[in-house]
Amino acid sequence: MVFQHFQLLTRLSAWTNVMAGGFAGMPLWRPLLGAFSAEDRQRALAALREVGLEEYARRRVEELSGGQKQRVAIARVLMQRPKLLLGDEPISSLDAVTAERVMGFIAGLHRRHGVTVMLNLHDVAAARAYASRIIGLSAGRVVFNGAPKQLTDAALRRIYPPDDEDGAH
Amino acid sequence: MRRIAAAAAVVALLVWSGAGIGFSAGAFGDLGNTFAFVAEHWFPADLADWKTALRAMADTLQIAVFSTLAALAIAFPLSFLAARNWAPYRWLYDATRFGFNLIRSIPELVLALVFIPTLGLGPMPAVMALIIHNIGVFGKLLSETIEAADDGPQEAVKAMGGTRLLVALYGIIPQMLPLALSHYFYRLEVAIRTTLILGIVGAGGLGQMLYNDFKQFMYQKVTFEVLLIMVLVTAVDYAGALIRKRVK
Repeated sequence: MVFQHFQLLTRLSAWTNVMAGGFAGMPLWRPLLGAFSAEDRQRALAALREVGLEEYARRRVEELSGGQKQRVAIARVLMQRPKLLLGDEPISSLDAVTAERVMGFIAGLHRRHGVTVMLNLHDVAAARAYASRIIGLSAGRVVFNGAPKQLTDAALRRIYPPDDEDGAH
Repeated sequence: MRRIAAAAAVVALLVWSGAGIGFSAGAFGDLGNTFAFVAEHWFPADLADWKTALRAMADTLQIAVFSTLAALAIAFPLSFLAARNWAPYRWLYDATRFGFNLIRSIPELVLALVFIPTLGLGPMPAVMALIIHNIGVFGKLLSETIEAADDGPQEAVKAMGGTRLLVALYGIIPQMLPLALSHYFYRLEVAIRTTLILGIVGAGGLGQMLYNDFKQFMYQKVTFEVLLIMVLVTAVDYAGALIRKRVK
């Protein structure tokens, strides 16, 4: 799961944050004593390397930029060996360039690890660029369900009715 | 109208309390006598017993440090049970909170007096009194710090499948550390002053030395002891500031 506001342990290191992704699969005493196994440490470091943040492993998350934080969150997801990645507006609190990079990393997750990715986005351009399937919701109803190239202007107007700017939630 | 009523209430409280203690404004006029008394009898400071005084100062510091550290160690885990956002059961939250309030309501001086017949004179009754009272104080301060902790990291640990213990360890404790340190050093400072007061009931240290010298009208020695107290409290405050600066 990737969140709009990252949901990281801001006062702890990026490395620890990624290892927290493995909490569910560890015996309780390991995280309780901070005695993570060598394998978990290596996997966490490899995950950070994959999002290009290996050299920030020992940095506190609160010292990182917004895009770097979301990349730590993606590395944390990698640690969970997910089959399905859910993202709740993962790029809404990022600027356009950073958002593009983060989308790139998420797409990489799908390409390299075969993870199914399901995001909810308000950025139509990003959805068109990365998705293989787009589902449009308006006022709680599915009003579009198809490939990006089927998402015509008419279809878009059904998702975002022009007279109701806040209808698309 | 309400403002007038509020002002009238404050004046009424002042009159009621002031009349009760027989306050007379003349006491301020007599302050000059106090200055003259101090100027005449308290200077220069008598440093003859400096070795004993320094030893007593160390005793005072040790009583305060040991008691507050022990109280912190006991109160820290308990304070999670007294935090609404962490406590696993409502009754446990209520019980822990009630316990903290109960032991905090008893002043250290009273606790020390209770312990003297069984523990004898010396530092032990003071240490026990300080520990018990400060468990109540730390319990309250820390549980409120836990309740004020940001939700984000706690949600993150839960989302990763972390148990309640891990939520505390990774989601809350890192956030509360700076504030907890702040609370600790403030309570240490208070404990030093309390230890001085408890010297009057035989707890030892600088407080007892000061009280004994005072009873024998050796004001110049008292002056030196008061100076040492100021040095001690200032030094602890300074050390606290230094350590807090390094833990951000």
